[in-house]
Amino acid sequence: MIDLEMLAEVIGVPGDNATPLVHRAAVALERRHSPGVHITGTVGEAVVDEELQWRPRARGAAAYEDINRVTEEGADAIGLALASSKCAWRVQRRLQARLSEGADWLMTDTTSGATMILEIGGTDEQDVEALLNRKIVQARRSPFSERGIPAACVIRFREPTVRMQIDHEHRGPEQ
Amino acid sequence: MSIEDLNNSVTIAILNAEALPTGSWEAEHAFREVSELEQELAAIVGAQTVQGEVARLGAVAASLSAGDLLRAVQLAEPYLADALSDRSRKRLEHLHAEAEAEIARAAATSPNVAPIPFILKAA
Repeated sequence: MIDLEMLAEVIGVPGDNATPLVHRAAVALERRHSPGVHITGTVGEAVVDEELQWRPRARGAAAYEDINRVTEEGADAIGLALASSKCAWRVQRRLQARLSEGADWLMTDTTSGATMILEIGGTDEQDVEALLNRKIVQARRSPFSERGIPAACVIRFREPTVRMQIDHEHRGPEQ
Repeated sequence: MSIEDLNNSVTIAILNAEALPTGSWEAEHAFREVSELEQELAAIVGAQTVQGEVARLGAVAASLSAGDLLRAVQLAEPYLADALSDRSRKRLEHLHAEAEAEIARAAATSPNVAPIPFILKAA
């Protein structure tokens, strides 16, 4: 079970960093779901079926939020929670969108010490495989992928689904 | 501040800055703070690491987002001499060129200012 309200502790960041992400994940999930819904899919080679818990938000909370931001940052919260709990990764920091053209977060794999370049994508209803393919291509194109390992994680909210791919084979520039 | 503290601060600063309307005074002010934090990180993390590359490119990119073009050029020049990976160097060269082009464009489109001589006469 993943309690999104514990995100700060799970991913190892201060509460100030995690609070807005958790709020948007709750708003995105509450479009159709209640606490206790399961998210299914794959993280790397592992099959995932996790219960998600969060504190229910006030009715109308979505009215104050940008719909795209809710989807993107909500996906960030769930993707980071799964990367931390399933892969033992720890957040180093956020990357600027102006630089990323394919990387949102810098993370450390605590088992190998490798630096992971993680791109996270969110969608309400789009095809998750097609989105994952786009995101992994973007992660490989990151200026930091020569020294880090590119990875991509996609979350779909309609029936909560995750696909996460780690590109261990990637070495150096890709044109 | 420690590297971990700076990483946490820059994460909060980026999330705040990117939530503001692009090009607004508030966003430019927020990106100036991001650039300063990235510069602090760059000063203590080696360029041969991913974190060091991210901080160097981040300081320049945030200066551009802050509309502080001269600062972007001044930061990029010494960073280009550091031991960056090929891809990060290429991206930094691109940011440097973007800042210089923006300065040239601003100079070309700014109104000309010429001195007007005048003599004060006694009333």
